[in-house]
Amino acid sequence: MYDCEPVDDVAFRVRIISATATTLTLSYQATPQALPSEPIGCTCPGGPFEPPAPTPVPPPKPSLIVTSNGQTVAQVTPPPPPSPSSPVPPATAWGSCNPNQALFIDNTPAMPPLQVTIVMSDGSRPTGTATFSVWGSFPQTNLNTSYPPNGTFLIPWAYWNGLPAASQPTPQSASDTWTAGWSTPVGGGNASIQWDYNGAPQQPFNFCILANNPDESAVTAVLAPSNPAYWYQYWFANYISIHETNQSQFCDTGDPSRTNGADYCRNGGTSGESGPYPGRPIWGFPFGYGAMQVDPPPTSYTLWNWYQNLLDGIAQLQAKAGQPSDVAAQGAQNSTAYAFWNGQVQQWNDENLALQAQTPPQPTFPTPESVDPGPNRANNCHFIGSLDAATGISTPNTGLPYTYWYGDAILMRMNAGTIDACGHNANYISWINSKPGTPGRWAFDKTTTINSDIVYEFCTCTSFSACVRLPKPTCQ
Amino acid sequence: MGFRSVVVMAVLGLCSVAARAQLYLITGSPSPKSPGGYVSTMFPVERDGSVGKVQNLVTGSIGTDWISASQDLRLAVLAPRALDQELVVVDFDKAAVVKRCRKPNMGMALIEQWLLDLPGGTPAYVDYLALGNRGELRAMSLDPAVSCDQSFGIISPSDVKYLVASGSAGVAGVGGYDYLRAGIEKDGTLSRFFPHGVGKAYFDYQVPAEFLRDLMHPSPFIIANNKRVTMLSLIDYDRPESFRLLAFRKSDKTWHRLPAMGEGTDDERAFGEYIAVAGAIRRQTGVGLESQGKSEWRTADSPTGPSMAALFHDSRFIFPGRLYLYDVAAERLYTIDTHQGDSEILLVEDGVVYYRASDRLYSATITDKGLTPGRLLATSDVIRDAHWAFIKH
Repeated sequence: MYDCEPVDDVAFRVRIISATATTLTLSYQATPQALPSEPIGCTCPGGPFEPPAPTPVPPPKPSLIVTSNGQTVAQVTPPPPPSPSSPVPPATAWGSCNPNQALFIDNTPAMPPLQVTIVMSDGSRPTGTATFSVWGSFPQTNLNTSYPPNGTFLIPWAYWNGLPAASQPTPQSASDTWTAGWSTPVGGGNASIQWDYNGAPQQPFNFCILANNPDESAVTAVLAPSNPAYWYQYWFANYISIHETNQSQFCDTGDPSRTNGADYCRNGGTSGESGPYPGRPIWGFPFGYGAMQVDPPPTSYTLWNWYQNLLDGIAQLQAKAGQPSDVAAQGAQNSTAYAFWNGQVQQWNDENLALQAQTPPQPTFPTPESVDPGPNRANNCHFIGSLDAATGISTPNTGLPYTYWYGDAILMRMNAGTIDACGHNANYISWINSKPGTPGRWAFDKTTTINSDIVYEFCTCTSFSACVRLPKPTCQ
Repeated sequence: MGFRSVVVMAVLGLCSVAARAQLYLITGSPSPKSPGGYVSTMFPVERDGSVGKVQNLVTGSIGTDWISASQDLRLAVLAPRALDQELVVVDFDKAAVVKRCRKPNMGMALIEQWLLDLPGGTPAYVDYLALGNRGELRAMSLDPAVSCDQSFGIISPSDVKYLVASGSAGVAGVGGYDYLRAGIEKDGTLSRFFPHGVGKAYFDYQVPAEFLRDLMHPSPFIIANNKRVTMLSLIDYDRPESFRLLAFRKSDKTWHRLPAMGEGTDDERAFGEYIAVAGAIRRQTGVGLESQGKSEWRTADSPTGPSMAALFHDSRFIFPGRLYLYDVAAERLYTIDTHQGDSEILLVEDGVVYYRASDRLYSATITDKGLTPGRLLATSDVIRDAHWAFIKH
């Protein structure tokens, strides 16, 4: 407080013009009368004037505004980063991601648009340069002994953005909006925008990406037996997709009832996670993923790109089927469904020909369809031995409606698992050669560890509502 | 000192002198009908009851399609399930793999396979292959001196009469078999017809009419054929009770019907003049019964072998844990009670019977008074999957 001699007995409005250690210069305005404003001065009798130290003005801070389709993207809590002691995150290492916060891969499928703008804390315009990149990961992990090292199979803790890990993002003007160029195939999960401002690394912006399902009709169109023509032999592929996931790649966000049949979508199932998880790929623990429950998925795209999942599912069927003409051909005699089936028919036919050659001819062994014990029979799947007597070879083309060779039944069950309810590893049908004291016979093994008759169940799935779910099997 | 004495003394801990004879076991479970395969190994059983170094013969990821061991030929053959893998020949006198060859892909289905002892002392493995209206018998020389590319050739069906077979290994089908499905001519001559224009094989054995008279449709199998015995099964499948086992004693060229054992049998096998069978009760007549020793069975598939619980469950027989040994020369029957369905006789040599019950290996000596009580030689989990044995001299 400074005291000055009053100039007059009036009220003043005062403005400090300058201040030194000893002098304060003011301007004033008297009220209510308008007097000419002029500087006045006074001397501070209390000693030298000590002005307060000026408050430094902090430089403006950059931060990001991230938008997608004009909507602001919410930042989420990131997952724990991998570390040398734990390079593979646990299966539950998702960040705080829920559908209300996430971006979505659409049902094209295409990645969501992503625009990133730097804003300064003081409202000023960013200056200089900035770099941006997006990194992503999906934390589910499974054990699969065929994958090194130590049997750990990562699905995948991998980068799915368009930039190779070793490359440097290109600097751009910091005042320009950056648009994420999804030059990569589709990927979802935890995502992080890594950026720097004028060379200084900034806090990453964490968000997450989920995905929307295709329409069921889109899946049907892809899996149609005539598309492409060489898929004809996988007439049941769409049945598998309907049975396994109701033609869904992800736990559905819009209509949860579409995928509530999947344990994972409902409550996490046996995955070790605890659902529901709308927008995540349907996971059939331990290895099945997506609409076709591809097991194991060859790449992360099998998880996030529903179209790729269908292609991979078909490719997996092709690998398990072999060629219809295979007989003990390339590779393991019994590793492919069609080679196995053709071999069984040959053995059965050989025994019969030998019986017929006896004097007198002996009764022959019956066709497999005549001794198929059922008891479940679907109207649109009839399986037969389909032996062409002229060639002595079984053929997939039976010429009868809804009638297929047993090679397909073997393949369908092989795709689901060949361990039966009693723990026996066997194919759907086998010719058990005659042995001393026991005549040859067709043996059927229809159960899996979780299905009483998976081939029948597939066959009923002309639509999801038509799918029959039999009681779980017991070893009998 | 005979080998029998050496073994007995070794087990008793009395032998301090290194003996040359060494017992080996071979493991494996051929799985021609299964999507999966199992590892095959070979290992010695040491004199202190331990198991020696285990040598892989066929890896588990591939597995075997067929395994046969012949004491006459002194070898074992392991055929892999994959054509791009090698067939393995084990020499008993070297206790080592002496030959590995890949079978050429003929683009035909494998129907059956056997061992032959072709004239000139050439042991051979033979595949009977067929596809549609084509067929052929393709042999592979097992002579280690013959290179792989010179080892394969087509043989005549008449060569099949040189069959060398031992029968079934293991129980409930776990070890596979090397027997031959045969036919029988009007005069009783054993034969084998190969369709697809391949032809017919005639064996030098004629079954007496007395063994055939009551069989409208006799279905014979040559279960075993060695230098001393040919074992034959006969049945009219319309009458399961008509099943019978015959032995042709080569020393005097006489046929013998194996004596009734008081119960059914399965998994017949021959070791020289000895015929080993497992007591087996058909399920239809054994309702309510269960194979013995369930608590010791493996309950799930493993890399070394299938679930025995599943095999017993699927078997048409119940195994009470009794093994029979018939001496064709002396016409004498011996019984071994193991009380374990998963048991089998692995070898009979120099008057000693080696048998397995679950994961335990025993020996018993054949004496004038019968078999001595079983003596435990070794216990090990790898013994569980051993279905063949030999002694390296």
